[in-house]
Amino acid sequence: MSEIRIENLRKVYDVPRGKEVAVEGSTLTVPDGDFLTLLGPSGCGKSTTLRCIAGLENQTDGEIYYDEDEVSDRLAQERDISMVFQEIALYPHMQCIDNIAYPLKVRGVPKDERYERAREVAATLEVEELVEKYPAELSGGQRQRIAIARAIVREPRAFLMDEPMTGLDEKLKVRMRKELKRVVEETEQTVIYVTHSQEEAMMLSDWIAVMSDGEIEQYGTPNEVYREPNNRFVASFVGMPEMNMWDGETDGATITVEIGEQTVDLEVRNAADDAERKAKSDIEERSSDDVEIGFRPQALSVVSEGEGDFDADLDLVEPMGENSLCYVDSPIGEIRAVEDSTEGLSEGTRIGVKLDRHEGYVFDRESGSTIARTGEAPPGSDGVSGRAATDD
Amino acid sequence: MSYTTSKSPIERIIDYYVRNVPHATQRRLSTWVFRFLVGATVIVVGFPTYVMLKASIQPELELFSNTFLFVPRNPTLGNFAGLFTETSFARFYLNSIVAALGTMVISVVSATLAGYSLTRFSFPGKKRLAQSVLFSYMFPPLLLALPMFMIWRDLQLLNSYPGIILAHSAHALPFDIWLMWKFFQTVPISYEESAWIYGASRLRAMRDVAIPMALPGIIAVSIFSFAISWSDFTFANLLLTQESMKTLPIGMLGFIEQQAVNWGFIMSASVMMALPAFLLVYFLQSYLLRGFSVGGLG
Repeated sequence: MSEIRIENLRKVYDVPRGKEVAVEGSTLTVPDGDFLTLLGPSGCGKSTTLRCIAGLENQTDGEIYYDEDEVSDRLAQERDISMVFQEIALYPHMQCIDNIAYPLKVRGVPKDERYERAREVAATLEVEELVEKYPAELSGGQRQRIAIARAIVREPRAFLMDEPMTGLDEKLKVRMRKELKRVVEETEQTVIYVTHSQEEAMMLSDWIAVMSDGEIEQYGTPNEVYREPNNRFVASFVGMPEMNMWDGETDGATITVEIGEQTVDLEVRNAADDAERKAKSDIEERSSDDVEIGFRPQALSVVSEGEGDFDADLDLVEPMGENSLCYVDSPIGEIRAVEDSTEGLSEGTRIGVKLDRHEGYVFDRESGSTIARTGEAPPGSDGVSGRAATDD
Repeated sequence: MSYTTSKSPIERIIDYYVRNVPHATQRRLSTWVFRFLVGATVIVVGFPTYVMLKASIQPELELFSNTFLFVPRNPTLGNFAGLFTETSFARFYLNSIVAALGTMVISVVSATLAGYSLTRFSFPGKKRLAQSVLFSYMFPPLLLALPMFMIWRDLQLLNSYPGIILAHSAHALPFDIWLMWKFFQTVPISYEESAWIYGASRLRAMRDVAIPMALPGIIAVSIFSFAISWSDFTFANLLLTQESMKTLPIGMLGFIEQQAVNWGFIMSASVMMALPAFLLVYFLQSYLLRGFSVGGLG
């Protein structure tokens, strides 16, 4: 187990028409024993970053350190790590026990010893009774467990996972996530996990690095990433359903949003007495008076006509189980709001939309970075439904 | 039924059959038709084989009599014994086996390495190279054999095992390489990558992971190469002129061209020649069919 550090990692691929930058100068540190998730849409460079850390790709520039050892130029074989692939990659011609024991076999551990160790690990993952079988005889979830067992059978310096849950169905994903979290905590592994699912990232990680277009947009705890997004991309990528974004104008103290004939005025929060915002960019740094304002659907409520901040037409109510997602039709486009109770709401009627005023984010329209929050800072951290893995 | 005017008479007959003949009868009829077709196939393929087997154990007198006997009256192993005592059959047999095994080994090793590299490494012109390999398989053997004769003569490879093995391998390899190329394409690179991660060197990962997963392909290649060498006439005929170096197909030609056609020898030699090919396919087919369902994993 090691601390993993990458510095200015760059990866450029030669493609038939010139060059394609996959990773652009990433720098981050995963503390020893922590769980980092690289989160981002497909093609954002997260898998490439992981493969560079594993040694399966050669970085174009930059350094990779495991603790104080620079491993940038070492082969994958010499880096002493484990990895679970998206394809799971259990060897079909070997029994599960041989699959699990393979990393030990390569290292020349005698047969009895490696089988004993393999059985131990299989027991941790509750797949003891499957070890005599071939991978083709197992279900998706069972293969996943065997693959994880194989990855932890030896004590590697780090444990890398490349979208390992992709092939599983929803229910199994949730179970495997819990399982994985337990195993990882028991073994105190340093883990780097790649996924495009924010749910997985939120639940599993100590740290999240949100990536887009080869760059790390934000690196922080799940809570930070959700509550204090660095920019528009992070704000809209993290959080379900997607954040509402509206154009507005500011004079430095208030923001005006025009919704057809109606206007909504929002106060800019005083950054000085907001602990969360102190170290971040400020409204004074804005490139122009044109800003974008973002509200999570959870910060919006649907009320009777005239009682909210503005009125609009309720277009569609989509049940999501416990609560419902309301689509509201307005002159500035579709607005999404999450409501607990949909009683008395009928589609096609005129309703009011009420904003939770201290939950708004202000983005610079040009650069996209977050420059302020709206309203007074809330006394506690209420009103945020995102949960952080660090909290439990 | 005015709309039936557009139907052909055959369609009308089928319609009539489907609608008016009881289902039980239809089912019985289709069973019998199926049995008839299977029977016909068995006869067409099996009868010549049967004649070969039967003739191989019939004495010459019986073979040349005018009555065709389904069961030999005086079965004898004399033909087989004669093959070994009166002809150089044993020598031809040995030559054929050496040539076929040599071709098999060289083809399997080179095709596996070539297929692996074509899928795992990139180099300029790779795709064109892979395609042109298959193209070279389209040359008729004779076109290759004539220049080979001249080159082999200069290299002193005529009438030698290395010479014939090289020629047969050259003929079998294009298809073998193409086959292994296709097979390795079905083995995802991540299986080897995971082995590398666990510390296995490239060669070790190839041995432990890639080759076992491509095993059905390797078996197919070995059967194919064996068959190419075993049944080759063109190359052997040109490159092996010395009696003691001849392989079975050209050696057996001698049984006809000498003073008289010795059917007893030809038939018993044919049986002996069919034997290794039959055994090879029989024992390896289970490997061929035992699917390591690569696609079903993951």
